[in-house]
Amino acid sequence: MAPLLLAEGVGKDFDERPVLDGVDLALESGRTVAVLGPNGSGKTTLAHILALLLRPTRGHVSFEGRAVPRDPSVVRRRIGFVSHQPGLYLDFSPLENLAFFGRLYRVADVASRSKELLERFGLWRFREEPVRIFSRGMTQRLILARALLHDPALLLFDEPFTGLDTPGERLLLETLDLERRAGKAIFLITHDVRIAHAAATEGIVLAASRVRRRFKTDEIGVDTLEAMYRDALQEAGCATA
Amino acid sequence: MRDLLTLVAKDLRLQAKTGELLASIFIYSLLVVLILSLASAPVHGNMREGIHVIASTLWVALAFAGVVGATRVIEIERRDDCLKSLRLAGVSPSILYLAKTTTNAILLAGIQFLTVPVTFVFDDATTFAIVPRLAFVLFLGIAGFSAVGTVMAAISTRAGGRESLLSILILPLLVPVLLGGIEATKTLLAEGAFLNPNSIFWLKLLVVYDIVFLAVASLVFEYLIEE
Repeated sequence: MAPLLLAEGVGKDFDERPVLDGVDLALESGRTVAVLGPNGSGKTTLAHILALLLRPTRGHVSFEGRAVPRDPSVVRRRIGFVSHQPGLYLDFSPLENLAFFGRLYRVADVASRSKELLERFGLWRFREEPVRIFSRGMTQRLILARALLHDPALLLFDEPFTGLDTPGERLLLETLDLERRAGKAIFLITHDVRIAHAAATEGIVLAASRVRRRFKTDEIGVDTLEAMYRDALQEAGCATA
Repeated sequence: MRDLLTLVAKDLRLQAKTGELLASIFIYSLLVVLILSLASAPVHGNMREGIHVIASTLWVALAFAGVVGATRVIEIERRDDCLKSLRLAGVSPSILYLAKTTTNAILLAGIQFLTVPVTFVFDDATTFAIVPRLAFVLFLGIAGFSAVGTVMAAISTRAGGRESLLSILILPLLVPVLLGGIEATKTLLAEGAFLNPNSIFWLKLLVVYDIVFLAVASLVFEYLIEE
């Protein structure tokens, strides 16, 4: 069976400067792929290409075995994306935001789905408050609820743990596990080797625009993964912490 | 069509909640109307001069409101990366363009509804019988302003130039709208109807320009919002 999303030889240049080069990646249902890498390694660019928001300069991306059409609107509706920016209307309440996006995503019973997600992410009692007054962590929880609203087949997370407190982190790890078990394909960008090891089934190390290592989390321990990550960064000439 | 209505309803609801845009463009327009009307008060005894003053007041107010409104309506989506969320939700660029143009047109129409009566307070000669025809001319002008303004605002906010860049970009493309609108308004105020071929020509120009610009912009808007 073809992977849900397949990237082959994907590269991207900005102003003729390559920020990503020769990336091969398969995202399959029921699997979580972690991407480890330092700042500027091309992780977010890769996430935008996989979300079909950015066209690659080189290589191909296919969804369910078919090349992505020139107008990718329909395919995009099957993706849930959590990025650095909220992508929410801050003057709206959580309920208003979810109702609006629910209508665009054609969610059948948006009211009950919104209630379910807001309860899951501990935001139900803030449902009528404007998002503008939310803390970074609360906004991040709402971003997660919005990404899951339409029950997408593919979930892309770009540093989703940013701003979350310890209970929030635990909730997100549980959500990642729950969604993977429900058959979603998950792509997770993180700086944190321990989170990558805990949440992913496999992963890549991206450094200086290229894939430097591939790993499966059931084959190596977290310490080995940390050592592998450090080696990959040194090999790519990136500074290590 | 469903997405279009959802987007317009969202924009209007946001405006109703914050009042930010409506307040700023209403104050702008009212100031323009008051300043131009008061400054030209001594020449109102002259019927011909009065017509020129009213026509210019109406269109200068519309131009100000149009430039400010178009920028803000697009900026809502750029701010906090909401545009990315809309693209992920599968909103087609042409629907987004039409939604933004419609929102802008509704807001401009609302502002005109409030400012046009103020213009006529300062003029004794104009009768209210011309109001429906004047509303038609203004409707065509608003459609043109919104169609052009939305595209230019998308280019301007993408370039980070906001209103300063928009003012430079928008002017050449608005010349047909301004020419057609001002000439049609002057004829209407002078004759009370669109009787001569000259006024019919300006009206046709407005209609054709609006349709052509809306159609072309719907097709090219994709290149302005896709990365």
